[in-house]
Amino acid sequence: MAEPRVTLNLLQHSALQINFIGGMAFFLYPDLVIHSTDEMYWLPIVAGASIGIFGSWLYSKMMSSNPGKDLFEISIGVVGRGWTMVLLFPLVLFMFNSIALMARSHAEMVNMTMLPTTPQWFLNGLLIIPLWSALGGITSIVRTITVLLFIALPFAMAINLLGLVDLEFSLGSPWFKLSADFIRSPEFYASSYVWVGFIYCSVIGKYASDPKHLWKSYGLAVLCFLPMALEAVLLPVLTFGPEFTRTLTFPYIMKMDSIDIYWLPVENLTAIYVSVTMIFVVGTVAMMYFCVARGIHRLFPRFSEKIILWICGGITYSVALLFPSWLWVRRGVFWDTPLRLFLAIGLPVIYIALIWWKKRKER
Amino acid sequence: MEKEEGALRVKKLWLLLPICLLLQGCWDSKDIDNRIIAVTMGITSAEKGQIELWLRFPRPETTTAAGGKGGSSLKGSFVLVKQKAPTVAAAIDRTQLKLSKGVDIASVQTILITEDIAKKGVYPYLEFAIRNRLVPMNTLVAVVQGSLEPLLGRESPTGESAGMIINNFFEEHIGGAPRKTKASLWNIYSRIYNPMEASVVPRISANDETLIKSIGTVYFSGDQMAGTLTPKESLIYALMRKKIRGAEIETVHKADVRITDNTVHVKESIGKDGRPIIHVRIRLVFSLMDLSNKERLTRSEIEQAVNQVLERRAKSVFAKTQKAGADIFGFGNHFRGRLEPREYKKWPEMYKHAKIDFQVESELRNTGLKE
Repeated sequence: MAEPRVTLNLLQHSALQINFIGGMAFFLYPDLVIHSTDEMYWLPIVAGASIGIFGSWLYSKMMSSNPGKDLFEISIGVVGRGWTMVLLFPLVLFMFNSIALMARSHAEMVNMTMLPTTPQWFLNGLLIIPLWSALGGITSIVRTITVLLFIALPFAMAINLLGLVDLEFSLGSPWFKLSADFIRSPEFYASSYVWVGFIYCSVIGKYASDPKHLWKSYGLAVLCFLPMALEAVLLPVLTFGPEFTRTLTFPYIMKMDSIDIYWLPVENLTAIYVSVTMIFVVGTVAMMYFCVARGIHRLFPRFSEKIILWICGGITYSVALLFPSWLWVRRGVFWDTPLRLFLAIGLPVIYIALIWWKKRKER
Repeated sequence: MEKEEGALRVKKLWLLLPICLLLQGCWDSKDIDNRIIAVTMGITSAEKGQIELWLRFPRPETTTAAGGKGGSSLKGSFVLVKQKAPTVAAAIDRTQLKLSKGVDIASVQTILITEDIAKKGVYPYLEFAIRNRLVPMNTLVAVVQGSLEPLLGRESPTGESAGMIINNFFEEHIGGAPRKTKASLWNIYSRIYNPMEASVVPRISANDETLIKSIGTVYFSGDQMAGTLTPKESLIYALMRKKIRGAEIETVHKADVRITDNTVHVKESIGKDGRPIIHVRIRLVFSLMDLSNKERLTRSEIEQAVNQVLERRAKSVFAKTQKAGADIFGFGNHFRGRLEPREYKKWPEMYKHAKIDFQVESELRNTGLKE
């Protein structure tokens, strides 16, 4: 049965990307950025976002060569199924890793902040919600994410505004200095995981009404979320100072904990913050599940997407439980970095070259 | 066909409902009536290198009894439990051995530390709170002169509930005042790690009439108590932190003024000899409250008098803190752009030799309803 034609406009793509950045920006990101430099903490954030926009432009270029097709379909058309399996295996692997890492890291965050004795097998069971959403297809995901964004974004913005108390700007100085020491830091490259949401455009870019301008929707998402990403890093630094912030596992959670506003009726801001983050995570993982199942389905069309989704759900749940500790989750983000950077920049460059070569050959 | 699909959907929804049962998070739930909630914590040293933890739990039944309707026969508004152990976390754990309800310290409002603990260094005694989020990060901390007994073992004479008196004492919107320095757990802990800034904690003692009295401010060098400031000197700290609104200053001419606003400008540089040079300009706006002096003072005379009082007091505070290498004003943070990060740990030593130029410019906004 032919798949009904669904198109997503640029704003809907932006919503998906905002949700992705929201799901990623608050847990390990502040820790990585603060460890990547000793000064000008805003610079690695802006640099990461700029690299992200460049990567999204490459993906737009790649996807616009064959509008209405995902990267797997484009690749099969260009290099055949066999080579597609070889070239896009890293992409599938990356998506798998990302789901398992996200599930486990957020389960650990809930464990460390709110539910200390709740077992991991239960907390990782959260994966059932995005899996269920992914089973409904892209329309279900986009609708879910849009609704969740309407709930989560106002809370996220309110929390960020409340976080503007007790700031001491001299703690963040020097604000401007000729230095880019973060370039040599592995933490900076590891922090790129926040800005690579466009990689999922390799699958959902198929639904773009105008794939050539996909990067604009990503850019809009970055612009919308950049202030919050800056706050996720700078608020703890400007409150506690960089030295203490570096010793914290979740600096932003500690910042939430430190807020003491007399008129505020909410006592546990951290609980609201963790819940908001989990809302972003549910939407993001749903998108990831959809992309990974769609990719595998393109490579092995005899298996239905629903069966693949259930198998993926089982595998990612098991892998998430296999991480022995938080330290391994952190290591996982570091080990994932070369693959992530290859997929963000290298993969689209390879495909742009292959598509150009194929077109030239056909001419 | 459509009817069948609809029925199938309804069945699926029913199948999903049992999942909701899992959402309760049963592992970490403990009913409120099965908890005993501590609101004040005291830490003092005990023999053989141990600490003694004091936990004060309000007794909710008393409120009903006080209202005349309840049937509680219990006396007192709180329960005080003391426990010795090598660490605070171990003491909390052992406290549970004495109680029939689950000890809950997540609502602790104030931590009181005795001076002997403050002199030894507070880091090992507060670490538990940060690592496990056992108590809120915004919990207030105070150093107690003398024993904890007169402070924690007595009822509040001013009618506050059992746990709130110390918290209310410092809270800006309740009983707080610029002379009463206020410090949260995160303030102290973050400054232990920050070589460019030293911690301050309010110093209190027991008082026969009102239970509690502010007797100044303790300043730290690293995590150890390095000295104390009097309540009058504490005003300079409040001034520098822009938390002085509402403070009253009495000049030598017996003129009382109330500060309504202040701004602080710090300009930093490094001298040719490598000494830090810090220029502080304070601008104060105040109103006249009382002029008991029969002599009629001019506007500029009052302003001059206020400037002189504050400048003299600031000089004494700088001398004290510089001697201990305790930069309680965070001047060091202004030098972050001028020093290399590896030089930061030298700051306490550099602060000892810093040249501080402190100037106050004040402005009398009004003289009240009388000219």
